[in-house]
Amino acid sequence: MKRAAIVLLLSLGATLPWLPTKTEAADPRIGDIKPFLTNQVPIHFDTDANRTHILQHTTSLSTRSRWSNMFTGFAFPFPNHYVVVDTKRRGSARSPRR
Amino acid sequence: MKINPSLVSVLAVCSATTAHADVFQYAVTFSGANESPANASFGIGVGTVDYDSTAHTLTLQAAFSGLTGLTTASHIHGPTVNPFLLNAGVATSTPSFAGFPLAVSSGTFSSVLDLTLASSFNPNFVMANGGTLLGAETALAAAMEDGKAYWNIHSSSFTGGEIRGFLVPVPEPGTLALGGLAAAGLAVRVLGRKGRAAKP
Repeated sequence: MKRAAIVLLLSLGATLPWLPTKTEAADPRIGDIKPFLTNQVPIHFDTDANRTHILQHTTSLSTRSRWSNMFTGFAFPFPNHYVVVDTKRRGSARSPRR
Repeated sequence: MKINPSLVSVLAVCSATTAHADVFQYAVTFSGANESPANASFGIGVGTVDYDSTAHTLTLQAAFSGLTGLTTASHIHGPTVNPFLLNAGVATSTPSFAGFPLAVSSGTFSSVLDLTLASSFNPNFVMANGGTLLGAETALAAAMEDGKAYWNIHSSSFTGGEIRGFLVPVPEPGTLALGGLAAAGLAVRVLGRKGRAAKP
C-alpha cells in the first residue's frame, strides 16, 4: 500500500501548468520527485517572479484526464522554490467505491 | 615619543578598508519568523557559511531543532532584491544539499561544497548568471556579501521553507582589531579635547 502511493504520483505525471504573464520566461518544470519516508513523495520546483504556479495531479493520463490542484504558488514579485509533499495514497483522489 | 591619536585612527581605518581575505565568514540564525511570510514554527537553528574565494569552496555547518514538519530540503537562496528581505530562487545544489539530514525535525549538518562542480549549483541559477560556474560563484559571492542570500530549511509542513536565516558577515579578527584601534584613537582624541576644555 505504501509503495502504491509512490507509484501513483510517478505514474500520474504531476505537471506544473501556469498562468502566463510573460512570454520570455522558461517553462515551469518539476526539479525533483522521489520517494520520501515510506508513503510520501516530495515534489521540488522553482517558481518565476510574477507568475502563479499550480501543481496538479490526475489519476489517469488521457485527453479526458481530469486534473486536480495540489498546490498553488501565488504570483509574487520574486522567484522562489517550493517542496510540496504528497501524502495521498493510490485511489484517494477517486470517488469512493464499495 | 608622542603619538597623534588622529593619525592612529586614520591609519587604522585605512588598513581596515584595504585588508584582504580569501575566506569570507557568515553567520546564520534560523527561525520561522525569518521566513517570508513569517510562520509560527518553533523551529530554531544556527549555522555558519565560510566562502573561500581561492579554493572555491563553501563550508557549511548547521544545527537545528524543533521543526513542526520533517525536513524535505535545504539550500541557499539568492539574491533577493533587497538585503535581508523577501525571497529568491535557489542558488545551491538541488534538490537539496548532499548529506543534509532529511525526514527529521532536528539535526546537524556539516559539508563542503566544491564550487567548481556543477552539482553545487541549481542549474537555473547557473543559467541566470551567464551559464558558467564562475558566473554562478561570482553571483553567489556577491549575494552573500550584500546580505541578499539566505539559508532555507524546507519541511513537510512548510512548502516554501520552515526556518531560514540570512547570511550575516562575520568581521575578521584583524578587521575587528583595527576597528578597535581606530575607536580607541578617536576616544583618546575626544577625551583629550574634553580634558583641555575643562581646564580653567
